[in-house]
Amino acid sequence: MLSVAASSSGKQAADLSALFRSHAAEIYGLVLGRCGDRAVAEEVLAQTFEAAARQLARSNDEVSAGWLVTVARRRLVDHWRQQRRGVELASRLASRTNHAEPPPHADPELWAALSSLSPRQRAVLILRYVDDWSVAEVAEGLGMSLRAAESLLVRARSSLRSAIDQGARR
Amino acid sequence: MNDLELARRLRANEQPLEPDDDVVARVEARMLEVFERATTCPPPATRKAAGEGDPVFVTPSRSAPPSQRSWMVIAAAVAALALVSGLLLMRSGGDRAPAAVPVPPPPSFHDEPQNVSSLPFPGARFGPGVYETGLLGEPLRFELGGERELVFARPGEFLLSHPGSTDTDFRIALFARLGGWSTREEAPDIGFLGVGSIDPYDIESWIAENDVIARRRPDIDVAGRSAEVYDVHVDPASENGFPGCPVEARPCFWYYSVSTVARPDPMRREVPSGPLGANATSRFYVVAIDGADPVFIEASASADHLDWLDEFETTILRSVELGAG
Repeated sequence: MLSVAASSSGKQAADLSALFRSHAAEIYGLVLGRCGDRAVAEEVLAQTFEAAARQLARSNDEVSAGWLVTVARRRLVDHWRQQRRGVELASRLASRTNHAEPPPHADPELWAALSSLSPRQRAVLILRYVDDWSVAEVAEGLGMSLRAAESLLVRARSSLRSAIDQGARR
Repeated sequence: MNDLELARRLRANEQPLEPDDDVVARVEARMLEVFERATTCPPPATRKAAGEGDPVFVTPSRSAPPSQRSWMVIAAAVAALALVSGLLLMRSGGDRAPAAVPVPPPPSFHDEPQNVSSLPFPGARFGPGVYETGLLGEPLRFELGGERELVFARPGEFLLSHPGSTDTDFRIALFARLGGWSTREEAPDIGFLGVGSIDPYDIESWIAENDVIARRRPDIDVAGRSAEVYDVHVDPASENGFPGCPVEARPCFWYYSVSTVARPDPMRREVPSGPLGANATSRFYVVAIDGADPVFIEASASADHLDWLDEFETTILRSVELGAG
């Protein structure tokens, strides 16, 4: 945990940079693992540390790794939430070239299978199984009805399993 | 791969990863720019009034300088205006005929029954035609006049929705038997609700014990058998709903069904189930089967699409044959 003292703006900026250097890899890896898109991961990383900059500028509150992770997760949910019908296709096309190669630590089979899902299918899987959100919370977070979330989750799970099975047969 | 394994593998993907140097440079520059503005600008209340509240995700446009962004905004506004004008012109029957848009021909009706289980899901499109399934134990055949999409099909239930789906609140589920209500969605909890202890032919008293408003409709014939019909929704005044319901759907419950052909698997949370809310109506059909559990059919629709329930009843449900073999 890093506390930025309000002694001087220059000192604060240096401390902020130190905070960024200490935690950028953690936040970037977390977001990239969730969305699989380098452009989105960079944007969420930037928004997270912009929020940290504002937080530190207006108060002496400490900014912890946990705080950064929480903000990053919320920003990614904001992104998923905005990928509604109409903009989703354009967004998907735009992000297609940004799909990342699996990082060295990643599970390549799962990475490839996740890449075949739509962003919203991927979102429901992450929120349900990684963050352990209830289906109702997923619905609220992504701005859809309970039934739509339930349906999307069933499809996402089936699609992922099918993609993994297909990958295993290749 | 079960759900626990899936969760483990998904979490393992989220490991620290150093971004590329250029990403680091861009992000750090943005961060420091924000910090500089925040430490030299008016107090927060003024900033908020100027529209600098907490950020939401936007499509990356960081490389554009402010002046260029202004032009982009103006260009977007002009484009939007042109689009709206175009739409208005089309609606008012403008001088120019709109360009011909190719419309795919409607799929032809097929008489030869297709087996539901043979179609891939999710996403399989059911065109107009005859379908059959043994998934419910009792052989069942039905006919579609229009398109539907298969959400899932497994022993004990299958679920169709309107094509396009995820934002469409329409669900047709066929279960073998109702199980219980829950104010929580976790399948393991059904163990505490006494699954299977409910008399499937006494749905009325079962409903009466819960914060659910049920309106009994006249019995109808389904496949030559008598069926009780109920329109069900959650009492808006109920204080016992599942606490995680979205605000607009509160209060809500989950119900579970017990299949005679598949036992619940709590570890996979794939017990046949469905949500009930205050802002949607589920129409339950309990079709009597001699000497056996009834076949349970549900159609549901949000408050905006209640006419779909009647459409379902007069088209798909009317075509159902049970024990068709």
